[in-house]
Amino acid sequence: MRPSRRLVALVLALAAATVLIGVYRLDGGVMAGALWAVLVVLAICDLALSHGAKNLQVEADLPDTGFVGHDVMLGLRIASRRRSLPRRIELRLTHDQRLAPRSATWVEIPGHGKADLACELPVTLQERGVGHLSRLSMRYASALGLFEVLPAWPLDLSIEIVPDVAPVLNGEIQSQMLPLLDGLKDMKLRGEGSEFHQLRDFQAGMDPRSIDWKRSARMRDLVARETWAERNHQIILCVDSGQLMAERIGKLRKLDHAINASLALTWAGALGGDNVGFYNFASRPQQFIPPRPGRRAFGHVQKRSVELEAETAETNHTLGLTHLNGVLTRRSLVVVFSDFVDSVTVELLVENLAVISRQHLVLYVVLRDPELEALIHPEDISMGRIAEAVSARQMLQERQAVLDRLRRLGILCLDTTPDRLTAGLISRYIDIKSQELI
Amino acid sequence: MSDSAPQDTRAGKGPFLVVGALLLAGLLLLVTQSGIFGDRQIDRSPIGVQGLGAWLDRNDIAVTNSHPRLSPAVADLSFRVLPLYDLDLTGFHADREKRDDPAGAETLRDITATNLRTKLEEIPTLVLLPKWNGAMVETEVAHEQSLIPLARIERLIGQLDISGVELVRGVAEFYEDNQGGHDLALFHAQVFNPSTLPAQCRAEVGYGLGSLVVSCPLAEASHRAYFASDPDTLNNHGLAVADNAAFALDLLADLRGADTNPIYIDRSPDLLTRLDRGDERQDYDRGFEELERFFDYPFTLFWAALLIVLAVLFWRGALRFGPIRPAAGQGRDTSKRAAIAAKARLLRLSGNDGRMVSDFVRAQLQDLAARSFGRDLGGEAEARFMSLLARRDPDLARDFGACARNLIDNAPGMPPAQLNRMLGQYHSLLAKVVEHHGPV
Repeated sequence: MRPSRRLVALVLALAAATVLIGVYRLDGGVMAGALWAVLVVLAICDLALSHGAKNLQVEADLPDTGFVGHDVMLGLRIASRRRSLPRRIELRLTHDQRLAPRSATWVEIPGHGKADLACELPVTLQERGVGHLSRLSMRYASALGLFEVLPAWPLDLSIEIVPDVAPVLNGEIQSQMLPLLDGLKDMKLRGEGSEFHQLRDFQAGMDPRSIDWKRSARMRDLVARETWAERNHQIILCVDSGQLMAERIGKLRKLDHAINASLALTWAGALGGDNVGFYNFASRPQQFIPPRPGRRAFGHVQKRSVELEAETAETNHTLGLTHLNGVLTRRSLVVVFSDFVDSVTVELLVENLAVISRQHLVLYVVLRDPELEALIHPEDISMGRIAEAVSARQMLQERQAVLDRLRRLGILCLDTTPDRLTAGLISRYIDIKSQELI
Repeated sequence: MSDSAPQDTRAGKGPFLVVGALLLAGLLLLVTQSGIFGDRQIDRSPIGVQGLGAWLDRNDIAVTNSHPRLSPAVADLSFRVLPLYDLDLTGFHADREKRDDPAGAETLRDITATNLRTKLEEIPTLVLLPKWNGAMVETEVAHEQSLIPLARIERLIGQLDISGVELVRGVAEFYEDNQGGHDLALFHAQVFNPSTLPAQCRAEVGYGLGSLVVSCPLAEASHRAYFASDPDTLNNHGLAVADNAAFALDLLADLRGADTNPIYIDRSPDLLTRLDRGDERQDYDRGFEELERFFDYPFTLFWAALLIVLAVLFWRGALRFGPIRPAAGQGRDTSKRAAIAAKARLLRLSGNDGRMVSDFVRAQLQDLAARSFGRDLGGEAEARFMSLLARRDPDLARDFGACARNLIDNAPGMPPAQLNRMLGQYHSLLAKVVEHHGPV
């Protein structure tokens, strides 16, 4: 418990009155003492009428697991043993850096006189790992508002924060892959799907070029060839875990966005019948998980990605990509999640991607920062804002120049915002599959 | 080793030589700046009074000679002998005259009127008026040419307490007169004309038809000031003549009276004596009574109120609600924003606001065109976008195009006020374009 601002203001006002009494009255001691005595009586009455913190009881519940970047709800049940709960209470949580609850949450007690309250506080999961909630602090005003009561309870709650596989679990990936799985998409697109699937009767509206004339002649009826995309391609997810990937965009770090997209692509690859491998590098090459078919690859990649942390050292693209080029024996789709600062430091990355692209199909994935885009188009036009806009635009132009250069080298580039990353990556994968670029 | 030893010795002397040279230079500077030699030269000359101190000391009369670094207390002195070598108490001429013509210099040691007044008021003082110029110091020969004209000395008298007194000077021979049983001989004797003495002054010692020593009362002191018309009465040159030395003993004994404290031979124009004002000091008994007054009414009320306020504020500040808030704006998350802000600051500092605005507007037009027609339109992007906008709203397209083109072309040369006005106009037109066309 501590004095409220109201009490502090009263004390300051009384102090000023005391000084005036001392200056203007020769025997003002009794008068000043009486004023202070009134305040003391008020404070004692306030304490007697207020809710005691010892009468409060709190139960908290947190889910065991959550996806990074998502909000989980901390369930709270606050009960008062004797009286009803205070009309308004404020809650704060002591936590580690992996969690980000709202700094202070006011909880209005619906219906005065209630002795029991159940509520939920949103907690954002910021980083992968195990997040801890260690303490719940509460604040409510005393009956007359002269004091703030500050009870606190130890919580000791933990939550395992894992990469976001929600798109996998809720079927989003599967629904996006359906056209490829059914063979419908490659029936509509020219030149895609070279692997023979079956013959079927030609129906009006089908592409005439799909008619198999030799068999139609033999069967004396029009027969169309139905194909589907080739399977058993090799996909390598190459994640840079250097210092630049530790930058936070939105709620998550770039590395977390990359891992979430990697897991989604792994699942898509499993659905598409391809083998998926995982590789990550930073200042030195790190673990390489060889390509595996089906859902086994997903389990391995998920396990590895949970442990992955961004380094504080600069990425060595030459060492990392040369090592990968050495271990790959078959033409693969190499999806590189990385980042760069400017056109000078990116030279080594471009050079090594160019070397890999001679044998493999490289898809370079880079995340665009929406805040940077917002800086370019300021709401109000002042000289300071314009200077920031020009500065940010120069940075983006350098970035665009690098991506253009990579495209000219035959490297596929995906430059997108974090919220569109997973969908954009799966879409690009489907395009690559249907166009048989691998 | 044997070869290196002498070299070491030679090398070791270097610092000592430098230190020695610096010490010598320092001492030389000290001596020349302090003016010790110049002053002493006058005191040792025939017109100096260095011999008077020695003579009095030899006759068991306590003497204190002035010294630049000693400050005797006024209360410890009985009488002052002050030779004057200055003819104008309001100016400083000694340095210039001695530099231009050392032999003809009449002002040999400057003294200010304020210092002289203070010296006169401190203790009874006998002032020796000037008579000889610098030639007496240089040649040590008493010649008629070495005398200072009387008119010049009388101008000095006008600045003293004996204003209006005239001087009379004898011919070029020793004139002897018996004073108190001693034959007093003076060359070119210089005396006051008694008839010109002010009413408040009186002659103390006569000489022939004139007065050799006169005294005048002082407005700010209870004692009188004494003036000797002829410095040869007491200077080095005069003491050696006839019974002048014995006369000097009697004269000083009479003037200082019963006070046995030393006679102060004051050869400095500065105030070197120390005036002790011990009787003005008041010691207070410092007890707890003064401190206790701070705890009487109404201070008790003030302290009590202050303590209560401090206690309440400390109580509130000591208890925190919730965890410590983490420091914001640090770490890798903000590095890109910091880099952009720093670059923007440098752009502003470079002073090219107009060119910056021009780039900004051009880039925004390219963005608008890219939204409609895609990237890589080259130089036609702006024109194609304007034609598209003109089909929808010709007036807006005309105004917006003119404003944007004006900023792109002329912003670098615009004064800041016009640039801001044009930017405001561009911003309002852009808002209308975006309303029609969609966001940039």
